[in-house]
Amino acid sequence: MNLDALWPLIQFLVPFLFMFGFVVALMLPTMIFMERKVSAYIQDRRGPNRANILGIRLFGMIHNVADVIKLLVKEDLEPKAADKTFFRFAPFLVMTIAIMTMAVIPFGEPIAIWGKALHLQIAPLNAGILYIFAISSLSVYGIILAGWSSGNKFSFLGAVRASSQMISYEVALGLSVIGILIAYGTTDLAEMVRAQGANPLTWGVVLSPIGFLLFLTAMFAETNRMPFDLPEGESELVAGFHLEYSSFKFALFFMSEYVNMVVGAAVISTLFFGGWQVPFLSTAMIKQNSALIFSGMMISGGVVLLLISVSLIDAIRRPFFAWGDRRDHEPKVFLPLTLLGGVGLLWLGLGVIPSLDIAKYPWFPVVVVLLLQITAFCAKTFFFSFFFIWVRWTLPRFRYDQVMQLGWKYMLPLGVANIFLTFAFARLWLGWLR
Amino acid sequence: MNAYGNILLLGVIAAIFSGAFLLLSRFVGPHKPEPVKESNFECGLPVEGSFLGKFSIKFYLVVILFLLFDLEVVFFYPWAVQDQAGIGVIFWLVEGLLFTVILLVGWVYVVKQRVLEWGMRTETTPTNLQRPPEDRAARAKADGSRSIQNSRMIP
Repeated sequence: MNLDALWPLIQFLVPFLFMFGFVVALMLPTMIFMERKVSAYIQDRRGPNRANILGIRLFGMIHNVADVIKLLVKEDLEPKAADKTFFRFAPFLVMTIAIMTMAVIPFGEPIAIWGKALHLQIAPLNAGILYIFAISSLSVYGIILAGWSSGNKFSFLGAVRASSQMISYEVALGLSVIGILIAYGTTDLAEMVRAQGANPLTWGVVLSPIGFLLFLTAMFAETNRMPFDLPEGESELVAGFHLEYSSFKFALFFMSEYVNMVVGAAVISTLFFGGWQVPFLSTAMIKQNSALIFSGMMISGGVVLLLISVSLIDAIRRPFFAWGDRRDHEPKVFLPLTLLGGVGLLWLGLGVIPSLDIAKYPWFPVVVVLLLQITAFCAKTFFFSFFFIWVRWTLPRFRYDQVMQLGWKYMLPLGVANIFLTFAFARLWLGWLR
Repeated sequence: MNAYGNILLLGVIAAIFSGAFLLLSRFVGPHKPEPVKESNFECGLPVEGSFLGKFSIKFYLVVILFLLFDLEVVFFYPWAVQDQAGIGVIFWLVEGLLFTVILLVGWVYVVKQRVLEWGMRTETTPTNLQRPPEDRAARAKADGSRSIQNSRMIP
């Protein structure tokens, strides 16, 4: 097999499968699940716990399956007043753009394999951050097309509001990263992560705390999330731009919102929190102590699984609540799995790895680096995705004039000041650290 | 295949992904159109008038401001990633500060022109100045009768 001919395909497929799997197949259902469960616990409720497959609820995760089936078999209504072409095109455009944004996000150090460097990034583009801004701002088109083509007053008002809000905060979004662009000296996201290094004291959030806050706020406004979700303000506009959408067309808007959020969280962690950098552990250090670090990972994972088993045993012995059907037996299904997993990981960490001669396996350090860095990237992205939900169920909605004034009157001059503050601080701080 | 090829490929896959879902919902769900189902949702009331009514001129102003300021922000990017040592940090800084001053002059002008005031009425609104304050009762009466007359026009 000629590897050179296949290489471009591998270079595309490996990062694509990871990113697509992580964002669309893993984080998207998790976000929808968290939106329900986190909001439930914030409001002192128990959240989704009924939908089950043979008694397995997975804490309410199965609810997502029920949702998808419901949305698929619902009637797909199209209002007579709607412009059919654009009405169908808008959700398609929004979802396509949401998926395309994740192309330039790096999730690991490029790995040397078969004498080539495999970039862990779908498109290793040197214009990284510019690409993200360019593509993500295209979603304004989708939203205004959706609102206008519905032929509904509420949709139209929602679309006008959404577009004016999104373009207003794009100015602040663009300004807030210029400070760290100066500090890193590049627009390539992979280069930026490398420039931040493994020490958290040189990460973007330390170099440019104001820039981080501005970026976070602007990101909330760009994704139309809670303090800024006026475009869909239920009490005024019913549902805003996606009011007339039903069935899977609505689902596409819904999903694209979460994909945007996850990609936004990934961009925040890449720009300001060192992306795939593991705190205090550089790639060379992980490679040197790969056996020790891998054992540590396995042991901590095993301990966590055993703790979960203990809580499951407790749930079986003293059930909090009895359903009176197969759902009561759910802990008994999970207990052997967690016990087996926990003991297996502990055995791997304490028994197998220390007795192994690592020098015989040259690929072992590479795998450990990959695992650890991907875990770090996923954990940071997960935290900021959770943060989006946390804020939504904590803060009330702003008034429209407050949103516009915040964007133009306060965030714009602060963003301009941030450029020079970051420049001065980063020079002093990095000079002092070295 | 370079990076842009990968982006194109990703775009094609994303388009197939969302297109497949659109087609799926079209064929899986029931399809029984009725006049009531096909009418627009206006909180259960019969639809009145066109959706293309009047809306605030402020939205146009926001778009114009966006064009101006976002263009200015874009000009910061090449300056930010420039090789500072190559042209001298002082020259680079003065360059940036001059441009910032131009941006801020525009911003101060916009703020002074009250473009960013989104309140319904400000003290400089002419209608508010011309109207004597003691006329409040009569005005409320007139407003009330007008709002009843026009209530069918307001969604």
